Amino acid sequence: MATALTIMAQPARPVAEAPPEELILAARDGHRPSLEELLTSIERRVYALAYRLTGNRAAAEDLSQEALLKVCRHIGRYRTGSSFWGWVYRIVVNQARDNYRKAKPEVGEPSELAVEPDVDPVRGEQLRLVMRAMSCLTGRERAALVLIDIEGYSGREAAAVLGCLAITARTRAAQARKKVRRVLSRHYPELREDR
Amino acid sequence: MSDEQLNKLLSVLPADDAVAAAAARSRRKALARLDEPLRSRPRRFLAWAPGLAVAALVLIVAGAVQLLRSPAPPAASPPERVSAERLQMHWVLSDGTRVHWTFTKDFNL
Repeated sequence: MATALTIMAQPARPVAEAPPEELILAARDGHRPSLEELLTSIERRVYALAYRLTGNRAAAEDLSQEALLKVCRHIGRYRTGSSFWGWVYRIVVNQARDNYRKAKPEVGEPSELAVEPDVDPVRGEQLRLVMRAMSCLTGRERAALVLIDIEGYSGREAAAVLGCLAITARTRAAQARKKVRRVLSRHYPELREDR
Repeated sequence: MSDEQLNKLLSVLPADDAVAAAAARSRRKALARLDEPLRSRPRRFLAWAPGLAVAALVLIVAGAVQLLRSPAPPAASPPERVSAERLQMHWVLSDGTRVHWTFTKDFNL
């Protein structure tokens, strides 16, 4: 049965402004209030990325907690002048990969994840279907799709985060897009690609 | 449907306040863990110590067993008595015959 697709209006990809350099430097120098302010300024984006990589709130909270802790412990390794968000995202993606290896979930078929109900039933349903579709991706495909298609990273930027070649990142994102489109088109026929 | 529209669908997240609350919880927990004393963290490098001790013990035991099994070296035969004037040699043949040789310093019998 065809389902009317209501695309939740999403704002255009906001330019991810890095926190002020002086805040990062103060945090790196051990100034605790600056460190806490730094974490507060990045926590939402970190959580959003963690949610997209894991697909449910509990796993996303665990992942973002681990990632923020690593940001605190390794802030000294951040090189001024380099992409701060690229450095943070690399921490999140690597931690997600470590968690993924430990959990070893079955990949290939969409699974029903414990997506919490939303106050908005339409968004809740879309969330459930999207996360279900993304559960059929490998960890690498999912990360590439999130960075390139959702976060708006270029192939080169995504490759720097993922630790692979740009063409590899783009290929994985394209494969992932094809897979999720196929799964989502069962509920949203308008997503089907014309052959 | 275009990729752009698909991307909009894929970018769906829970409600803003739910995201904000969960993100704040993660931050608080991360900061709490940062303040944990260092010694409460598991010291992973000691995990291999028992294995190393067992391996060393096995090597020591194997070495000791090898030493015990190897045959004793042959006892050195007593040197022949040699005087400044004469050289004496004593043979015992397989039939029990004893032969004594005595040489002068010029190797005459």
